[in-house]
Amino acid sequence: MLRIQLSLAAALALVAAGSAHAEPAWRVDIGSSTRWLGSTSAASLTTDNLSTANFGAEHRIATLTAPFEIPIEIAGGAGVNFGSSMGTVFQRLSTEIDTTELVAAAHATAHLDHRIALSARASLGASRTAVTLSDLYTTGLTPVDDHGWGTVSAASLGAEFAPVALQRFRLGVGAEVGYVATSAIALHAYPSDRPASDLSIATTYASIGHLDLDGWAFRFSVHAAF
Amino acid sequence: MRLHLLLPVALVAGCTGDRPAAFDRNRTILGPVPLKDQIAWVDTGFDRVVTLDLSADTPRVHSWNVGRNPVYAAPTPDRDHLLVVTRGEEALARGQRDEDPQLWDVDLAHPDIAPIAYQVGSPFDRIAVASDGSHAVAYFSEAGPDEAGFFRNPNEMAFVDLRSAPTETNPVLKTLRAFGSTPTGVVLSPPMSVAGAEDPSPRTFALVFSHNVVTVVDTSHADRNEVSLRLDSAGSSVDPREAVFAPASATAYLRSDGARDVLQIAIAADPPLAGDPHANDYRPLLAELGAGGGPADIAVFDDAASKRWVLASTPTTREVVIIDSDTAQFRKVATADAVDRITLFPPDHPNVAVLASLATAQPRVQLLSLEHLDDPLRQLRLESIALGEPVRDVVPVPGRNLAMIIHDDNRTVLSLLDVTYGSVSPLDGAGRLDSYAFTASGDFLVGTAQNVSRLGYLDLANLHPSDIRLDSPPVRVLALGNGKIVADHGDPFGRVTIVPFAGARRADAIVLDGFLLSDVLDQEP
Repeated sequence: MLRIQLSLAAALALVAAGSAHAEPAWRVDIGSSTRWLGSTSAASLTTDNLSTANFGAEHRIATLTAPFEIPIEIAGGAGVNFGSSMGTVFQRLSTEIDTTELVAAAHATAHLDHRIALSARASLGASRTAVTLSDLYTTGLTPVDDHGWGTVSAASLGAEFAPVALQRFRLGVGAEVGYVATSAIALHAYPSDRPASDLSIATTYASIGHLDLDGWAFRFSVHAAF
Repeated sequence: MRLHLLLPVALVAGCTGDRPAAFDRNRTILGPVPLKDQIAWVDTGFDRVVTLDLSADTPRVHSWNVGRNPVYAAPTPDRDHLLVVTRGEEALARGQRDEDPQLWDVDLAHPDIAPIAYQVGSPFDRIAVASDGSHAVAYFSEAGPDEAGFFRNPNEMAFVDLRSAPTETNPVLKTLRAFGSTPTGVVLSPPMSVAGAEDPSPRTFALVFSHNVVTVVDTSHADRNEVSLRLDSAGSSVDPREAVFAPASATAYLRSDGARDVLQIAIAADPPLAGDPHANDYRPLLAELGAGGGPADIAVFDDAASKRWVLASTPTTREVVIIDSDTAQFRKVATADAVDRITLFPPDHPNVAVLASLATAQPRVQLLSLEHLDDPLRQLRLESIALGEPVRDVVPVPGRNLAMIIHDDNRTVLSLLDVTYGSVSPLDGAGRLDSYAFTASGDFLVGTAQNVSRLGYLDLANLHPSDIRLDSPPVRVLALGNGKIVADHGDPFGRVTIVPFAGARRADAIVLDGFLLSDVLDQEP
């Protein structure tokens, strides 16, 4: 145990030494968010929220000074979010919505003091949304499985607290509330085990409609800056 | 304080979208119902009728919203309309609305016309429709009460004039006079004029069957009194099963289990009682025709001279009785077997009756010539055809003098009887023939077997068999009036294989998938 603590202390000392010449320029985030799906189409498929795991990295681009000498860091970065929600329709079909989002983000952080900050984030990217409907009771019924790509954009406001706030290293937590807007994805009744098109009878798959996953979101994250 | 605690909850609830109630229902599919050039399904979750219109080269999907909770659907005889009974709903939760049971008339030929709703008052689960589509009777089956509702009156019926708009007096709800029994079936007559009656116009009569009783209702004047005919004089325990009509003489012939004879119901003019607005201008007269045995099957036809004849088989006496419906005179033909199935060929102007004994599963049928029935001195020709296998069913092929003979309960052994020549051709199938249909032209028999991803054809001109491979096993095969063949795969999302004509190749077929869920995510709550 003592060895692990010593190793962590050494690693932190190395990170701090490596960036001893400047304020932290890089930052990584790991977070979890919940999105309250606000569209009728999403509510049709699930009554649950969309739970998302968030991973991001950003680099400080500039530091501005606001009135009252409040420093504001401007950073740009990228992130990937994995979301999932499950539900039931018609009392017998299970539904699953899975999302993968690749986003570019702009992040502004206003440091009120060396531990507390307010943040604003905006992101834009692409989202892959997959939907599966499968019968809970009938064996042999082929699940419907389709996916589509669309755009996703988000804006949020939040607060951060850094219990570890060294000059060259910061470790903190943050919470954000924002709104996520997605483009509606056209979905079709594609069976998951459909044969290759050149081996099967010419098939027309009906549109089951459009799914959008807009909604308010709450995000909690842990970040490290170095 | 409490308000502050509820505020975040309300805020979060307001963030989520409204879920259409249909997605929380237990969804079942009624159908498929084959129509002229369309096939219909009724979706009990989304409360809608969905049709696949195959009248053009490209299939089209149409849908009509009907009332909440459809329980039964039946096409009109011309197959242009679909009648749907909806149970309605009692509003007990958010998204529900109070709605009474209704009968919906969906005009399938005109997708832009909204269905007409008739308030029928009770969630009937059977519909009888007149042959001209003018009237319908909604009634309860013998299934008994279901879990919904409190009381159920099995003798209640709704008489609907489908040619008129819904009004206070359309439909007419009646509870028929009962004698301790409940209806087992309703048969509507073709339009019949009652000679000498106050109302000389053709009208539709409903015969309501129940144990020991037949009730006659004039559906064109459903507000008038019904007339009950006790049948216990015709036997100790009489259950009417089947009726055929002679509209020119306003007569019905009744086959009944437990009856000694064929029963005749003649509708005769009878001046209504003065001052009684519910009095009838007719009177049904019940008579036994004197066939001399309990009939097991009856058939009616007009000969070349437009004379109407009734054929009745009496297994107990091993006879077939031929009755002149005008005079009630009859002649008897002795048969080798206890005949309980009569099938006429050709159906429009028959000249041969195929007689079979299904109950005793005899390995033969008999062909009775229907020529010169009106000549009492001429002996009727009866020819026995050996089939080699027991006969379980006789199915006429439309448009041809052919009968498909089914030899076992599993429909694995079949043969085709050519009624003209008396020849029999055995057929070997890949398995049980679970679903089959004859094309509208009568040129092909098409069939499917459970869990076999093939559609089989049999060219009835030369009995050449062929088949095409499908991508998934079908559940039912349907032949439409325009020659197209549809294999329904029984998928609750909707999956059919459409073959443009019998004998077509696999490359000619197309599959439609998911059409029963078409655009469901775009619906508003």
